[in-house]
Amino acid sequence: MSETKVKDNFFTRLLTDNPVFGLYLGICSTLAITTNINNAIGMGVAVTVVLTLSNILVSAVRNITPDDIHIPVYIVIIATLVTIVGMVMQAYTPALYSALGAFIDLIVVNCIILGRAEAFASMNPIGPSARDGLSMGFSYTLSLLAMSLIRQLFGTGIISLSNPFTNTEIFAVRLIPEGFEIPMFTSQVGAFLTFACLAAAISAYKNHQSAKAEGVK
Amino acid sequence: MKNLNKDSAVYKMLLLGTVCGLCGLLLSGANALTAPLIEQNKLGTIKEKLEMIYPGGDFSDVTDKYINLDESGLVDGIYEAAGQGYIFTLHGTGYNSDGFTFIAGFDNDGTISGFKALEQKETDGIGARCFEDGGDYENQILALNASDPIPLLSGATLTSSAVQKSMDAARTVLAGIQGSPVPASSGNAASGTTPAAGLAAEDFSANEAACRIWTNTDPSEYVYKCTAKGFEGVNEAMVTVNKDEGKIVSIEVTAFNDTKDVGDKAVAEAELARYAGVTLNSEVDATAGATFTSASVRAMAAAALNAAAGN
Repeated sequence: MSETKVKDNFFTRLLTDNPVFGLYLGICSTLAITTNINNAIGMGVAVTVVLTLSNILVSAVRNITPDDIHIPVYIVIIATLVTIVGMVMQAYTPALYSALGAFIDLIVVNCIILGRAEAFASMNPIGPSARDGLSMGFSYTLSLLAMSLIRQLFGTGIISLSNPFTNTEIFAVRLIPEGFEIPMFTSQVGAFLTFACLAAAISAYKNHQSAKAEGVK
Repeated sequence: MKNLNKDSAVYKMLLLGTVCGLCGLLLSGANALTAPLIEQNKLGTIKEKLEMIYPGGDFSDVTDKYINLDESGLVDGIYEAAGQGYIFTLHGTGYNSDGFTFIAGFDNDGTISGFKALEQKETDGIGARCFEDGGDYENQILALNASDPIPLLSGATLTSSAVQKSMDAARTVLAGIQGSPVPASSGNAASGTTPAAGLAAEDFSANEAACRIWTNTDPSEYVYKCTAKGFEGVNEAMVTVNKDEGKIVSIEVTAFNDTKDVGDKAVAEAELARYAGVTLNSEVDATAGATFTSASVRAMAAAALNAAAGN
């Protein structure tokens, strides 16, 4: 993907090149942690930070790294960043850290991170790599938010957000009357169902866009 | 590095080594910055409980430092309250197989400064009495000197035995920390059962035992039909007594109305066999975990012996 394309399509890529619903990367954590908005934002920010920094560092060392050791070098960089992010979260947002559990450490093996390091950062300069990291991280965060909004709303009937630093509630609004929630949405079945519906909707949008583009031609 | 060929093994080794070294430096820096906060956060969840024992104390988590002194595996956490003493988080398994957790504080001189349940699901009115806030058991424990054995609670033998073991484990670790001699195990003092006095000396008034002659075809062996209150209801037994020798020949429980799987330990065949040859002066230990039913059986035995003696 060229540098200009990254710059021009920052927002359109949110849908078309969405890592979760378009490229089907990082699905494991998406299905597991999207039970509430707090988890989604926390995980999204953590992945965005790791993704952006790893893209920057991978891009910085791309010219001095021989091909046959590039994977170990990238993994060491990514693992270091993930560990640091984990430490910072454990220190400043302990409740969020324990809610996300092992999925913070598992960012190391999140396909989006290594995927972008391999497919983009290792072939592009630092600036575009950083932008790519930000854009992909932002897309990932939005995907988690969409999933968690639907699951939390239908599963608990409440939309709520708390301050991860103090663990105090910022707001909590009940949108579905008590007794009409569908608890299935907070379970794994609900995660798969929500994921399938959103992926289908985005796929339909992409098909519609390409059909329109062909019609213009 | 400039003159090195990128494809050479030395270059690759140097590059990987440099990357790993730099990453290690970054990690150690991050650890130095976040470790104190992480430590504080860890303490944060338990601090409220520690404050119950030493309000306003200056606590530090010394679990990693001293946990190797615990050979029982019953100590979960060790916290030092600077200048005051140590607090232990402990666990044990009483009647409920899920077990329980509690905290116990020890002053620097070894006296017990606090005893509170953290999580327990012992039976209400029985094992749970061990963890009642301001309850008899807590008061008994808080009144102990450093060398006193941890007592058992009558009617809650299983739970209090487990508490006893955990408290002994904490005392052993405390002795290790302070370099003082390990105190004697409380279990050795009581062997896990309530020490009994002779049946004649025991107070069975709460059991309201009553006996009447059932058969006396053999003039030396009378069979008494006895009843006595247990934990939930009235139990009934046929007690055969050798009238001449004032000894019990056998006891057969004919109606058991206490808690199933708890009280029935006291009426098991092996338990009842212990009564053969028992006189009014014999000591019969309570059955661990079935104290109430055991008292009911002993009350019937005593009543039958008293009846045979013409008391």
